[in-house]
Amino acid sequence: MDSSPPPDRPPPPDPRARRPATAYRELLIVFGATWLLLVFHGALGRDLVIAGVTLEKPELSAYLRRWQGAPFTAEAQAAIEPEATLPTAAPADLPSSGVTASAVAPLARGPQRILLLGDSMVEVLEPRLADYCLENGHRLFPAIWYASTTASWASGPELEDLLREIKPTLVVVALGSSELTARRIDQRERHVRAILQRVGPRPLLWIGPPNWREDTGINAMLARVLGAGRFFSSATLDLERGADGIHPNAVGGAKWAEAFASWVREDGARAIALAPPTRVAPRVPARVYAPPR
Amino acid sequence: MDVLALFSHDPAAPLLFNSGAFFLLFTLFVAVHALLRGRNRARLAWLLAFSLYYYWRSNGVYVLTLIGLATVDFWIALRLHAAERPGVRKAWLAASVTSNLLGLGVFKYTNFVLGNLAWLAGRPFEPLHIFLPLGISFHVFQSISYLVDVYRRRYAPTKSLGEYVTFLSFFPQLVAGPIVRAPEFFSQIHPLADPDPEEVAGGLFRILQGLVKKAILADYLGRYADLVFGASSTYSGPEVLLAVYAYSLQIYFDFSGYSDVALGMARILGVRIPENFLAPYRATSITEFWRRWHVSLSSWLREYLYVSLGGNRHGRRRQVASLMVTMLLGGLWHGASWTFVVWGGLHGTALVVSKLVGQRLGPPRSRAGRAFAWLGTLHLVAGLWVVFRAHTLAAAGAVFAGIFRGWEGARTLGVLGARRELVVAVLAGFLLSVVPGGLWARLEERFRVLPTFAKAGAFAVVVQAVLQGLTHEVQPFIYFQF
Repeated sequence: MDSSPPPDRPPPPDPRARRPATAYRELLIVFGATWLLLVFHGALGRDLVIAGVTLEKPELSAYLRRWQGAPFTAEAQAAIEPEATLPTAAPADLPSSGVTASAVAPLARGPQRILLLGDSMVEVLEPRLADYCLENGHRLFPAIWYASTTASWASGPELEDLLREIKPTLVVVALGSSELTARRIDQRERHVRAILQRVGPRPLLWIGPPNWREDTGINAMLARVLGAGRFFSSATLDLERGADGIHPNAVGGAKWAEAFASWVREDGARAIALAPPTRVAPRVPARVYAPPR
Repeated sequence: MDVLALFSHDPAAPLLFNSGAFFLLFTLFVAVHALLRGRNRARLAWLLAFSLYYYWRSNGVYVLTLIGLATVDFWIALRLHAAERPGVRKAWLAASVTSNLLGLGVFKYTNFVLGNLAWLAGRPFEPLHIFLPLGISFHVFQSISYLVDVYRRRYAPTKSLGEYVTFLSFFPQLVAGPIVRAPEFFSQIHPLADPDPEEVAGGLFRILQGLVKKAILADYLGRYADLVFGASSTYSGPEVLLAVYAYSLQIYFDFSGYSDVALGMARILGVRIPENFLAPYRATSITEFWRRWHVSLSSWLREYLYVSLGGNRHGRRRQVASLMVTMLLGGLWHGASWTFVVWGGLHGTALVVSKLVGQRLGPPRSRAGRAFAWLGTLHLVAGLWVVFRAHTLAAAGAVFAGIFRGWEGARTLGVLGARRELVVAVLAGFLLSVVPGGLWARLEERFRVLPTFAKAGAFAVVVQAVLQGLTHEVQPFIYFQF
């Protein structure tokens, strides 16, 4: 008996021939899923620009928070209704984070509990500032979040945890180094305002990034939002740098901290006792956070 | 992300495998590659076009040097193959190797040579502005191996120039290897067949593996290493030692992570390229380390330099000399600086000592002996990475001095306690590097049999995590500079 298929029927598909198509179909699904997540979760981190047309990054997480009834952060709220929550321009002499100047608690005289937080630059500033604190009876609590940006501190729980645990009487922020080349300064401004709102009435000073290259506006924005009494610009300081050409080395870091201390004594709106140190402080253990994911 | 900007040349922003921009382009590339199924010539043309575009993206007009090098070597290989008289063949080989090394020398070592001459003459030296095309050290070596193999009549040269340019410019391994041998490559592109689903799944896993190694482990450890190596005198002994371990792991995860991504992408295209790392930190001797570290380079050096210099066929003295020359030049290959030469020289010395001692004592037999040999090798390699990492020998000396400073008990505990995450990362890193039985291979097996949606979920989440974990600038791969 002839077992071959009748000539008018197509031959059965060869399973080997179909395998490659399956492989690429699977690849299509894997890459497709990855792109969906990237686009909708906004991990690309930026808006998509095609031939001059900007497709804004979807702030899915902000919508989800509203849907779930979770309390808004300023950032999330601003992402949804930017015009309703943020003034477009802040008066230069007033802190415009939603916390008015009169609402900021006066700084108690005498020893302070100083929370020094920010990116890897905290590690550079900390040794000499620790000497100052030892000399003047303050306690220093450094918190280093490597490679963090204003966005990291504005959105994660780290800032609130630190404020709750340490109960600082003065918050010193050293942030902005990772944002020298930021394109969307308006977004960074939202993050800065969110940080100020979280710090609330506690006295705050902000040490600007020590520019190793020209910035795209982060320093100007910080100066505008924080006002002259709270923002110490490090942009034009001539600091000795380490091997990476970015972080000041030990000498540069000490010089930087000296400049900041002198500014606090003379020009800062939050003057605290910062007499020049006469001895070297032991290294203060820092709270260290891994780079933001 | 400006999509149109992706298609313009930007020397300051090479297309790195761990960037969103590259992932977008790779997706487009694979889509077209898949559509060209069954049309091998079109597929190869698309592969060549994409590879040259990838190179042009960061090297601009210097893509012509790659095409020029390939054209000259392609032509010489044909002449070499056709020639019968040994003298003529030798002359062709010498001409080709010299032209390749001259090309490499002009781009990479001009400032080094002139700087040293100026130093000898006691004159000031202003370095010339010479562009170093990415990956030139890799494709020059790849081309030399092709010419030497044709000279040794191991195989006949290809008759297609396009094919040869594709071999040198194959984008997954174009800028940092692995260094591939021609027959391995050519046999897989005739035809450039669709891979098995298993190969694609394996390729996807290798990409994930590489991204995790590079963007999560290496970059995290590297930030700490950069900090301490930049100002080692301000850190205590435990912190400096931790940085030395961190850098040893960083360079391994960085380079092997790159190789994983390269292997993974090639597998998705249906091409298998050789493994570059075989768990090097498991080595119990320095000889074994070099059989496991950057395998494609060390086997290249062994086959085309060490053996050509006489190897072990002409007595012990010649062997020692061959070994030292090979390692000194191998060190110099990594960069135009005396620190790399010293690093190569120290490795060469260690290899010589290891061979002499090993011949007398034999391999360690007891478990304790093996553990001691492993720890000794690991610390020797880690110590030599300090020389590799430092910009000057004085800086390396400062790091070594720093290791022995400030080991008070309470302070050490305080330092380690303050850097818990880093200590955990270093321990986890070593565990991942030395765990026996191939943890990654087992994970790959599991990944391969996952249902498609689970694979998609895992891939999407890791890519998301990697891209979200990036700072404002993607960290370049260490080996891109070589």
